[in-house]
Amino acid sequence: MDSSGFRRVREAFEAALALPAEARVDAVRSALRDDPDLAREAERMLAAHATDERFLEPPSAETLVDLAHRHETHVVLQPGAHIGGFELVRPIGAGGMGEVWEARQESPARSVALKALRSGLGTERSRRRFEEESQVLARLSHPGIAKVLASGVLEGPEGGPPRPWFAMELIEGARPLTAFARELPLRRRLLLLREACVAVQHGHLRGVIHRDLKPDNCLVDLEGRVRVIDFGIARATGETDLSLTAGGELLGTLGYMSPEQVLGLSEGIDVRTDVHALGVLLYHLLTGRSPWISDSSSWTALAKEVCERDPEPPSRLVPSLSRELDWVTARAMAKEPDRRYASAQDLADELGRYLDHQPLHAGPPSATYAARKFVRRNRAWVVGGAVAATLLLLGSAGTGWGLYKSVERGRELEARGIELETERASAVAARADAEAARAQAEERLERAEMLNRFLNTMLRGANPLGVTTTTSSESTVGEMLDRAASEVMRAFPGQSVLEADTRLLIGLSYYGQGRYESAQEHIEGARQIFADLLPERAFEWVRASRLLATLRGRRGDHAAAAQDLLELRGLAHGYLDDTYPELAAIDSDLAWALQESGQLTESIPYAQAARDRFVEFGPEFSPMAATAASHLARATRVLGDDEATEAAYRSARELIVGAYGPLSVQAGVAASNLGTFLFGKGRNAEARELFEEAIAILQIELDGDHPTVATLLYNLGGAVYELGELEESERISIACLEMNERLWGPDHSETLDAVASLGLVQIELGQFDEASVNFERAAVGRSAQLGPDHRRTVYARARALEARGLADPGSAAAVDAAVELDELYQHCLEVSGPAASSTQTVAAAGLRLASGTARGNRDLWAERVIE
Amino acid sequence: MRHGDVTVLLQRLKGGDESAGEALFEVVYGDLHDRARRMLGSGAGHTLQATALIHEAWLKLDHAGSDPGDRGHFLAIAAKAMRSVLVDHARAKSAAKRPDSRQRVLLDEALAVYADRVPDVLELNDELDRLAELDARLARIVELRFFGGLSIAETADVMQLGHATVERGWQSARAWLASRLGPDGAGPKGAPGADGQ
Repeated sequence: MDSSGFRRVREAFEAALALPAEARVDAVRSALRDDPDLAREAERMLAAHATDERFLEPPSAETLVDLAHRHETHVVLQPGAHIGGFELVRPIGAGGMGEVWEARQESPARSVALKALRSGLGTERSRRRFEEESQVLARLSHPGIAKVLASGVLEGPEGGPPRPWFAMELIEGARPLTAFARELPLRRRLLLLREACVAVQHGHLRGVIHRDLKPDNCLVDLEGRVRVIDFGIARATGETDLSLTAGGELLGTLGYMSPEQVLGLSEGIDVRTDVHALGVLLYHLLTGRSPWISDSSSWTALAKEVCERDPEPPSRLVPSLSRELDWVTARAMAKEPDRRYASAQDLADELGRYLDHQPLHAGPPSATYAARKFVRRNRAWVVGGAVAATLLLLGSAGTGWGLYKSVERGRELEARGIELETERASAVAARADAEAARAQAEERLERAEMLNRFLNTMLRGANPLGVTTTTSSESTVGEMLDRAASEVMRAFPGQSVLEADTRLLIGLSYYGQGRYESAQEHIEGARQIFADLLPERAFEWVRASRLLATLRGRRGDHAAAAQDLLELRGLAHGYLDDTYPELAAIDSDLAWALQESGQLTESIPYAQAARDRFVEFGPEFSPMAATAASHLARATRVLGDDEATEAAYRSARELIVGAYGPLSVQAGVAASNLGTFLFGKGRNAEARELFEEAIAILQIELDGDHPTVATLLYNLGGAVYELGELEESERISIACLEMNERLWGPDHSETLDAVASLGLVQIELGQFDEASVNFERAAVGRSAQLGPDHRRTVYARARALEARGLADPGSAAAVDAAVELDELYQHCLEVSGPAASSTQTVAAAGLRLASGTARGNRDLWAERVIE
Repeated sequence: MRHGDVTVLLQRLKGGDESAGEALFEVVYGDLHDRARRMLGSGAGHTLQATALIHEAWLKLDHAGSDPGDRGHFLAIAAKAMRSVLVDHARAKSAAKRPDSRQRVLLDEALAVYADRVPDVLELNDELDRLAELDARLARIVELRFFGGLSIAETADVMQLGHATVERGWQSARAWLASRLGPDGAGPKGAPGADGQ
């Protein structure tokens, strides 16, 4: 036969198939009557078509597995065979674990279910374990658990592995729980699940975990009672949790597995694994469907979903359901065992409370629990397992984050997270579905790395205790943030908690960038959401409130910041106990704000408490301890305790170098602080060295406009001025002023400080006109902010007049300046007294002017100056 | 298997480069073998491994390319790979070669899956080659359906044929093969069951 002959056969055959079966043979004979060979071929095809339905049937996953099982079965069970004291009657089921037969027991005379497991007991050890475990199972006695009546092993032929078997109570007319409950009212369904919980709890109390709870194992008998079968059999037969369910029910069962089972973490399996399965059953009972949406043909997708996705709340599928039941299912099915009900009994009790209309223990589910915990830990860089999985929720919200450049100093910390992931990956890889698991782990690792980098930056900035930094090219980080910020709003529609958590993180990140306006916007948004969730989300609310208060200080209003923080401190102690570092952070920020608003003495106890608490919290918190120590040092310096101050600065610097490394921004700031102190004590050489070190570090690390750089430039300019390097100081002061103007605008207090410091250098350089203009500008601005009589306003005005007079000593303007300066002195004398610092700054300016110009009464001014 | 390789090969295949098809086949084939070895190395339950083998082979297809054309090519090649793996194994069995006892167990299982639907994989292989001579399209349909496990619709998609065309072709091919392999056929018979030797 050639291909044209075949074509004719085929056409005849296909045409015949359209006819009734009895007419087909005649049809092909007629069509191919000119070629009897072809006709016979077509007839044979018709015969084959009619007789063998299974021939070449494409195998589905289920049949593939089933057949593989049959192939592996070494001992063939047949009706009439005797196993133990039981005679097999008829097969009543087959599945992944093996075959189930109805069997007769002679004495006592009854029908039992005999389950012959598929897998063999290959080793002496596994056999011993089977015997021990089956004794435990035989002792389970509860109306809700099908009793194990006997157990044993079937020796395999030709020395093949023996197959374990169990004889269990035969539950007549049993139906799977979910099928039975389908038409029942909600209350009845919940009562059934509670019954199942209580039965499972019985096993737990005797040290047996079911490990394979699913509708087929949670039956309802003819009397309507729940009967749990196959309790503990998984472990008794030494099956790994995956191969246990490797049968035809593989896909069905996977849907009832917990993440720790899917990940193959056998050491992570405990009673809460069963709680998870009960949660899935509950979900099923509530909604009539599985919580997972993955097409069950994709094992990996389903496994991933089980591990990573929070199911749709039941009330979204069945609007009549109470939100409270959403919370119960979410808690029972939490990815992390720690977040689930601690026992089946707890779940049963919770269902009881719901049925009795009592308040529940579960609260609204929080999808970003892990992220929240991450923030709470503050500097816990550990990204592993379920935490990473949950964090990926965030990862998917910011697709642009992958573009973010790796942060040099974050590498070590990333490596830690990666190490954990790798460890987990290899643990998982050792399990059955090695390749799928590995691929999954790799993907997770990749995303965790990405997220790690992002969080790295964020949490680097999450140190709003005075030291804020940026760690990479600002534009890159800034773009990333802006993208994340714009995405967060539409990424979590209707998920306010998720939005709040993410916005808080984004706000923190902006904060770290020194972009306080954006930071405030997002943190404020987050705080409003958290305020509605008090006291459940008290931690977040407190944190957001603290950041907002501190932001007020960062944006210039230190007194208001201190006031806010003081109030918050009282409230926070009502919500949080002192195991929360957040309380120490409030103290630390409060100390800072008090100092910035001039209340140095008041700041000391807060700084002290904060430092001591942070040190107690351990090395993770040493950066914060260091910052608090810096605050303390600043305050003790004012108290005049030089020794304590120097010790505090040095310890702060040490903590910082240990936490961030010697070349970090923070180390630079610490060096600058210590340098400033030492310089004040006249230890010029040491101070100079520290300043140069700080400059070297910060010039590399902070190459954009940044508040911290601006502050440091200010300090540096002042220090260099004191060292007598006026031109260098002028250069620095101009750079400082320009940066402050870009950062804050022309009238901000930081800008005005820079203006004044520049004026100071200009006076010393003899640039009196420029100095006068700058001091006048500072005076006008400070008067608006601080009032006309404030020391700093008066100082700027006095120096402006001084410079004006010195600019052209012989001019009328110089005379006017001297007169004005005298008036200013009289005014200050009246308002503040002769010894007040404001009055004295005027006196000093008057004396300098009189000395420099030989105008005015030098002796008079000299008298006014109080040494 | 690196997806990058596959993507490049698929591109070449689309561009009419026949050698890319062979190279792609090598990649998939090698991957199946490696996969089988690795799974056995992990020492977990056999049955899941067999399932995982098949699932994983299929899973690859999802990653191969978003272009439906790519996917089609890839499905076809995966089906060919499965056929080849199984036939090689059956051949090794009949020659009483035991290259690797652990791998043998796995492939026995995979083979068992198919053996229930066809008396003898080797015979089927030969007859499929003959069918390809008579009607290459029908042989491809069989390869995709039986070894690739594709539905009629998926097969139609991959081959860019009508649903009805594939359905009719499948029935014809199946009947023809059955008539040659089945108990009433003219061809040599294979012993049914996995341990047929």
